Amino acid sequence: MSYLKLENITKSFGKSQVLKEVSFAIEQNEIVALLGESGSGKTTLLRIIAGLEFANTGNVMVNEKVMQDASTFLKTEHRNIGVIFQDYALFPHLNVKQNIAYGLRDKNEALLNDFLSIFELTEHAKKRPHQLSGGQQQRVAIARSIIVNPDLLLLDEPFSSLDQSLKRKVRSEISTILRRQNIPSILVTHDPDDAMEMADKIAILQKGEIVQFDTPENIYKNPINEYVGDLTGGINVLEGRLVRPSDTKMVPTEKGSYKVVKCSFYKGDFFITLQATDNPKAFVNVIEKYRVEVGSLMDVE
Amino acid sequence: MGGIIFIPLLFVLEGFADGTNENIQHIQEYVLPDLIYTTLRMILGVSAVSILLAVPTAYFVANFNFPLRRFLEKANVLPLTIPTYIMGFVYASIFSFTGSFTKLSMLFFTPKEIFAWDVNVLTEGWLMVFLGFALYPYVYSSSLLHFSSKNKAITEAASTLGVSSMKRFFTLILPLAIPSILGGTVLVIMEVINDYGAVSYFNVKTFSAGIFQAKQMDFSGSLYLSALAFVFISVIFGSLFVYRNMKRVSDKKNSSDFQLKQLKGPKAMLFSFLAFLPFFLGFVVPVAQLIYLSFFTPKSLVDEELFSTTLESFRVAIIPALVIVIITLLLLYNKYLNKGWKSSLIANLSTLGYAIPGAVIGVAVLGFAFFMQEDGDFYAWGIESLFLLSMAYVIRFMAVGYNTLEANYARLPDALPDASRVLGKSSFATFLRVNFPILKFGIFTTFAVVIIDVLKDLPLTLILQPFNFETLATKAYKKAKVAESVTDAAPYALLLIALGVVVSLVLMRSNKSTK
Repeated sequence: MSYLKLENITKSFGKSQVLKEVSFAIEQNEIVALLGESGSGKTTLLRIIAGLEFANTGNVMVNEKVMQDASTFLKTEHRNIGVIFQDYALFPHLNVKQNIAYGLRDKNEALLNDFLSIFELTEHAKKRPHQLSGGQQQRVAIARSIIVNPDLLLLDEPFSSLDQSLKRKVRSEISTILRRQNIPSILVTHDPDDAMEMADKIAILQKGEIVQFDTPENIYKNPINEYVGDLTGGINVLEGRLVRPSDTKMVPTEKGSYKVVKCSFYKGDFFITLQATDNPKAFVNVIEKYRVEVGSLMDVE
Repeated sequence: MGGIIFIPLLFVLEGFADGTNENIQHIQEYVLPDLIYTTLRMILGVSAVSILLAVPTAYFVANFNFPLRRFLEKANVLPLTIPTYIMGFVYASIFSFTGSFTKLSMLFFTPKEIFAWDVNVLTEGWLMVFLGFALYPYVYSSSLLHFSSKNKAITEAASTLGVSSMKRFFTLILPLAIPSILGGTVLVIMEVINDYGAVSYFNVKTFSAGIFQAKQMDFSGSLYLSALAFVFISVIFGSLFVYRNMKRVSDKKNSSDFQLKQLKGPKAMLFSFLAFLPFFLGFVVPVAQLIYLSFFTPKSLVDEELFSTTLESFRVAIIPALVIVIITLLLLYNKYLNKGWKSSLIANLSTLGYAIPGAVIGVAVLGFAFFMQEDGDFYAWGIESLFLLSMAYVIRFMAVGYNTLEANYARLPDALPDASRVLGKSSFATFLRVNFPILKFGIFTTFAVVIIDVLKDLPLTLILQPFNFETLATKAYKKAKVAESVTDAAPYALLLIALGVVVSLVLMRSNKSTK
């Protein structure tokens, strides 16, 4: 039996349908990433799971407990689902310790001190959120959500406000914490690197529909369509087949059907853009170990 | 609850029901055309003066650095603390036969020369100017916000294209500022239509004055005029709303911080003078005149009457302010819990009262009271009771409370109550433990702002005041108008202004910390 089960979730805001018959399930201790472009419905789906938004139709079950179906809607406060919000939503009028203790029914001093210690926040216990760095704020948000022992943890774009170098560090920290605590989690992100690095499975949302739900490896190797391919590292459509730029080969020829229009250094390799000579709107991307001259003619294999 | 607040306003439309009444026919034939033209002239005149004073000042303050700029940026809001009726009678007293203007002029001219000027400011034209002094800060504030946030990137883009500063101002900056200028002008128009004290002092017949005059003769006449005023206002604001939306290009704000252009020498002094002038005319002159006059106020009046009237005014203002704060909190929390057009509509309906003149609301509430009286023993709670007055205050000033508190909601993104609820706290517990502590300063500010607005109100209080009941505003007005003694009115006016300044300073602090 799946731990979280979503069945045929639909949601509209006015005339705009944001989610269309979304169904998927996750298992105990799994981390699933919801990946999609802005406006694809990721955050709405997350809010529906948390009970912060009503689904128009569909069922939500967590740990065999009905959260929402045709006759039931369990209020947010009774769901025991933790949420890490985009900007952490730390209560500005409470200090670090009070923030972490907020959801506890009985104030357990020993447990609180343990959490402060685990999350390296002991020396900041009396500080207000605005006195903390971005990484520290994030740790408070996670501690606050985890201390109440949630059945499920939802993370809404938790790295979007971090710069690239800090992001890598925090991503790895969170990943370690979630694995250690064995809390099934859903991570909403628009960044494929977040999804690929942290998740056991990735659900790709396109215009309110889940178009592919699989392991990061399978999604990378076998993207179901051009949208999924583009979202997860770029894709070329060659004779109807989807091929990653790293798997695309080019050969210099005198009467090549493609012309090199751009060649730039990219993460140790060269990212080369080719334009079809008979169709100026058709482009192919290739990743190679060597630099090529702009204007050279190539054939693509 | 928001809808309930709006219901008494509908009773004003009852005014159209009795079209055959002799008084109404008289009003239609002899009074109405003049009322409409005068109100329109006043609207246009005061708006023009306000725009002329406000827009250049806001532009200078937003774009240039000159001596006193930071002080003047804030100071130019302060004339709003002076109610229009006080501005009217203070300037009238300055230019009266024995006023400060004559006294100062005698230092340089002979009495004969001064009498030859034959200065008479008790005219419609001068009233437009004086009301402009009091109301220009509405346009100033909205224009300043626009010029500070939106035009700088555009100005820089245009200057890189080699466009001269004059051309930039007239072809880019001014047209883009129109929606913001109009936004402030709408508030000016609301105040002009609402004013009764100043127009009656200057004997100018606008809708408000007409309603008061008609009420003294026959209630149906005042109800009819109120209904017409309601339609008149709806047409004006409807047209302005459509025009403003047509002109609105984008709401996107540019928050980039650009350096102000540093001015030096005579140019800096000139800009300081130009930005100081509206503040001088709208605040320094009237306050100085009131302080000067208050030295001549009989001591017994200040000692006893002022104290008892102040207590009485606060006593009557506290309950409506409290009701407004509670309803506003409920409306805003309802908007958070139930997102969608219905809760927004209810909130908007409850704030319509501010667009409607106090006199119209007063008459509408009386109409409502008469209706209730026909169905039951309304006199048991009394038509001229403080209950009706408080109810009218709630209708009129609901928008003031709502807008002030809503602005404070910037401190409380939805994610905070969301976070509390996912951590297992009920909506009520969330409100008490998250919303309230974060908003408490905003709630206090809202409470204070509403109290001051209630204290300053004149038309509504004059229509519904119970027998032998006076507020600071009615006392100030009656002493200036009926007893013809601005000297006696001065301490009341000064106290109202001082309270307004204190609340403005609190609001400025609140806005700064919200940002």
